Amino acid sequence: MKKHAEATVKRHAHVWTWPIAGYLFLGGLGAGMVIVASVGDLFFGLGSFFIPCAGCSLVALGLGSLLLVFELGRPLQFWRVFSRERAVLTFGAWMVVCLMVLDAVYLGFWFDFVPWSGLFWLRSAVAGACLLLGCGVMLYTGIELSSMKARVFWNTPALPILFALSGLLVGCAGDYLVLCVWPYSAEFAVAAAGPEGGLEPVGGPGSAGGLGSAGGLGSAGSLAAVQSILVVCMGALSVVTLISVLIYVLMMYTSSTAAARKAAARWLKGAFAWAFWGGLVFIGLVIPLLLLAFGSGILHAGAALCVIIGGIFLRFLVVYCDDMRDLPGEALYKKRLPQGDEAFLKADW
Amino acid sequence: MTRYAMVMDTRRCVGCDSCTIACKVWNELPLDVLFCPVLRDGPHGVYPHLHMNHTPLLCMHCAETPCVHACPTGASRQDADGIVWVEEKGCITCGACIAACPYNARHRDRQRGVVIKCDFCKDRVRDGEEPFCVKTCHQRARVFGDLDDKHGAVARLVNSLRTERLFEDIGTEPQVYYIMSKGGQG
Amino acid sequence: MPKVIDLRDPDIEVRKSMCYFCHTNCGVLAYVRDGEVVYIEGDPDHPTNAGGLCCRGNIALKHLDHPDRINKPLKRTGEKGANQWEEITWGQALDEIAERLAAIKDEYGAEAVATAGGTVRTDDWARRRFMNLFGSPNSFHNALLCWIPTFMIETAISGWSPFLSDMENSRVAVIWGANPGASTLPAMRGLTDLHEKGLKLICIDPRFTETAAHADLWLPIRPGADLALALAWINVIIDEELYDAGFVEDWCYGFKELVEHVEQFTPEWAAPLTWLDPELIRESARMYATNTPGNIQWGTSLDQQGKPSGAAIHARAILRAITGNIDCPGGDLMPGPSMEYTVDEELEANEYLPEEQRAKQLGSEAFKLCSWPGYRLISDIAREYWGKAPTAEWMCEANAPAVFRAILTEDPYPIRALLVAATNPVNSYGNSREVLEALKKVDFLVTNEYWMTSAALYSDYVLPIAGALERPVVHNNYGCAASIVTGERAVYPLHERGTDYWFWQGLGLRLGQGEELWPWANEEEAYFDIVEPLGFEVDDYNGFVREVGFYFPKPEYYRYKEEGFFTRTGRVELYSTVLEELGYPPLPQYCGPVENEVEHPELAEEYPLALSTAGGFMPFHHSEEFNIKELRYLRHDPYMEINPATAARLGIEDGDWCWVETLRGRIRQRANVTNAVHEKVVLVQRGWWYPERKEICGDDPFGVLESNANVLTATAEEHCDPISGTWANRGLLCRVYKAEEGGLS
Repeated sequence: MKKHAEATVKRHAHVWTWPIAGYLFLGGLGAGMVIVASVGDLFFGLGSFFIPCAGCSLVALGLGSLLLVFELGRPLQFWRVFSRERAVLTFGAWMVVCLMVLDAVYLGFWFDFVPWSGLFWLRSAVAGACLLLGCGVMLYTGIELSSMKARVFWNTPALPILFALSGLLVGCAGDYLVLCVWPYSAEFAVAAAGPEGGLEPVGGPGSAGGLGSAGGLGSAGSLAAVQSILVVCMGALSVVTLISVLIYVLMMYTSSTAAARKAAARWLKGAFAWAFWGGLVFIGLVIPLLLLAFGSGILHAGAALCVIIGGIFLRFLVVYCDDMRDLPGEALYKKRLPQGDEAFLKADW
Repeated sequence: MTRYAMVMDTRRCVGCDSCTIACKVWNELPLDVLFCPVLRDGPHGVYPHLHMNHTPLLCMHCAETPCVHACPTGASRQDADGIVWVEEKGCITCGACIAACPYNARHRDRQRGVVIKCDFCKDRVRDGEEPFCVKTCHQRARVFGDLDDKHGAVARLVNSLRTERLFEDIGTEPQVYYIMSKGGQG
Repeated sequence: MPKVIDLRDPDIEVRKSMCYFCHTNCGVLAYVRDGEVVYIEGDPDHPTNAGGLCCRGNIALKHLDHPDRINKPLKRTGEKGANQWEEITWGQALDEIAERLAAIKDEYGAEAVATAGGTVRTDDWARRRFMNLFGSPNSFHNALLCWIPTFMIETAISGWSPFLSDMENSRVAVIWGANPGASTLPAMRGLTDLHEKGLKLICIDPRFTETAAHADLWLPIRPGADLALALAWINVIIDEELYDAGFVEDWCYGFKELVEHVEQFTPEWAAPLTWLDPELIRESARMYATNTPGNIQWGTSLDQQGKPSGAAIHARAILRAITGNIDCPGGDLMPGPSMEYTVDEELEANEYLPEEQRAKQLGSEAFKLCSWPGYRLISDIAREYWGKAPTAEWMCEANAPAVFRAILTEDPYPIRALLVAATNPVNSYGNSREVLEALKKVDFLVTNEYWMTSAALYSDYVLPIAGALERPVVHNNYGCAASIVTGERAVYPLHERGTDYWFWQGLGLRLGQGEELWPWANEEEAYFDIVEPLGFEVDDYNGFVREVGFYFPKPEYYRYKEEGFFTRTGRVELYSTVLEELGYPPLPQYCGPVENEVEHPELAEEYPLALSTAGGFMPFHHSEEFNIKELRYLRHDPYMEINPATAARLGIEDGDWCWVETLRGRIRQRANVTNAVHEKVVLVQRGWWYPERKEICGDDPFGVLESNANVLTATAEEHCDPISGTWANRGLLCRVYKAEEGGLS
């Protein structure tokens, strides 16, 4: 036992901590962004508007995966996560990796030097696959958490739904911000024109088709149109998410399980109330709604930023609410154990 | 077939922590990891009419193993005799099994970067000995054996007494059976 | 470790050792390879534990190899308490200590040297032998807190203490102020087994203990009020004629006087004193008296109540006698001293202590029974009947508080040297502040210790002492039983550690006590002298351990029917002629707890809560194991138990640091808010110190006065039991208040 003499006690041990919360957020963001981009491409012919979004999705998923690996006890052994077929996590890991690959492939359609850039049918197929995998990634994290039977705050099918809504919301917001920072450029549109040229806005200023129509909207104008669609989507998703979050917490607050009630109380009026009301509800949902409804331009960008902050709060709140059902006497037992700063822990015994 | 199981006779347990420490010594656990805590429930009641129970814990070696299902690497596994264990070589400590276990039976060994858990002292058991927590219990509150051996002590107790299992409702089919005590003067 | 050790390795030898982290002395199989203990486990063939081991037993290897262990003799180089030491050899240490003791003896007389002992883990017959040969009567333990008053009073009354419960045949067992569920686990297993078979259990305890939770009847008595309960039980049993009339008629002395005496002690009289419902008192008395045969288990509580202790023990002994539960199947048996092996008293050389030195024993004038006056009477009677006497060490000692006071006040004469073994007196003796002052003041202090403690800190020499596994152990109930259980050492003392036998023998030889008086080279030789008369065909002590191990003579019943009880009247003396001769009441006279609301209402205004320091709790034993990290992890802070209603009234929440204060001082412990105790009762944990505080600063080394229950206990002469001299750990008055943030102000 000697080798453990220096072992310290980790205060308030949670099963997962910030890296996983970060991963859940970035995974949702990456998936959400690519879903919105794919939908835009496949159904509305707006692919070129969202070119950089696929790249950002790739970056988000990559960063998220790094966080995930960072949280592992043995990061260098991360590849083992791909080695089993039936586990949700294995499935999810494969999906994330595939989505990242598809993101990269998809991105390639806008660069001339990429051999497949001219294969329009492939682009549609890839966009379709991105859509499917994006949905998979967006849902699996929620499914993973909700499958934990004794984690009372997670163990409900409502969690994947909530995560999906939030993923779509932050996806829209992410895409919106990307479009603000890196607006539509005609060069890409030219390079990426499909063989039929009909589905895609073609040409330079003055001839770019907006919204798949043959209309004569300028690129700036059509960009504005795309943004306004995203604004509408964000607004709608914010409303739905707000309602869902409130229902979720109230459902937990009225649960038959004491531990769930306790966790919900922590959100509503306990230690997490500031993050829930202030971070998630106010900054993440209410302010964006107001800004989206009554603001414009830079304020909409502000709304998108707030939505993203709200998305981060949601993942952190959920990850740190890993409460379990207590066995009789378990709470007191834990209360009596050292918290980590006791002097005796530092003695070299 | 062999199906290892444990019976906790809480009528006998006094919460002395012997198993907690014995387990810690045998398994050389990190300071903050306890495979076998003994929970004290109570005293409840209105003085002077009170009752108190003790609940010794360990891995429940469930028949339906949420932890094994959650493991993305296959390091968590269950043998044919029901023993659930972690093959440390394959474990990356992703935490999925820790989150999945309803009984807090899985722990991070932060120094070695693996998940550790009670394995019913399988090395001892397959050597024909009892798990160490059973051996050390002065009170004989822990009974270990093969549930499929119908003449064995475990099968006799489980079948001839009303026993309870922890969180039976969530469908994990735990293989640790508790004989409940009155906990007071009755 | 066990995972990488093949226990079937032929190079590994298995030794049958015994644990001594409490008095139970469980059997431990020690697996030894190349002089190193690689693994231990409970000995499945041992009569006590049958393979079980508690936390302390399991973690013994950590104790053996603890980084804080002192491994070489230390000689003080700085000021007392400065924690500056020089490492020296045993030879030098013993030479210098012997020289100093000789000088003190020359100048002040041998009685100026005293020794303080502790819990059983040492060869106290050797210590006594040394003291007798040296000429000092001032040897003492905290023996008075632990069975010794019980043994002496019961022996005075019935010829030998009937401490051997014939449990297998009992129908009821009274667990009186004991909690085997947290202190003697093998005994608890026995109780549980028998309880399942129908044995009734009555538990008398102010706290709803692990044992009380398993009992049929729990009597939540006011701390320290046991005497009133015992008297009321006698009253009920006599009043309802539940006593064994035949036995009383034939074999009890003074029953008529008893009947008259206890008439006043009705359950209604006892109710306000004990805080028990009169009907509960009746019900429990009936349960004990009508389910014969039954036994009353010994617990420390009656020994630790100070002033009422002696009478309470006397009353409890009367209960056994009038119900006929003595020396009968299922009752309390009197083993007597072993006639078959050498008992401790035969090794003590008591005959060497001159009469005039015996007379100087501190405290023996005030407290006669457990010192030379009473011991002489009792051992004379015992010798007449049994041919052997109870152990003098433990049973005949200086009164510990009197010794500490003599150090401080030099009254009636100064104590110049104190030799300490197997105890930290600051933790284990009463009124810790006074004890610490005495240790600081005494001219010459020598401590046998495992690690630096508050007592060792002020010593002139600290000798590194071997622990469990490093020494053989003999368990024979302080030398007062007929049975014996033995264990061998697993390894010879590591590093430069030595044993206490080595210490006393080494000092004795250096002080000219003569080799013929110390004929045993080591413990094994001495122990072989103990067990050899049993007549087993073994060559040496270790052979005895391995081949025989233990010896339990077949219980004898109704021995009195042939020879009478081994008292002067040949009967059980309800009316004690021995106590009468010593000037004590021959029948138990009521007196209240040392501090109580009935007799001391003004004190109770200021200190409204009744205090017990009876918080023995797993995984610690006395003040030991607080530096074993794995154990400390389970109980890292001290907790005192307080009722939720009281806590709410005082604005205390579970986990708050609180001060508990008596007239002697205050300590802080955290609140364990629980209805296990009465609204007016506070129960503090014992033994606490903070070995992790290695920076010695201020006058509270290792925080030994901060949370230590003995800061609160009462040792003034008027608080002690006049018969035995035991002091008060229970039945005190205290007040509790929340400690300010940060706590120490």
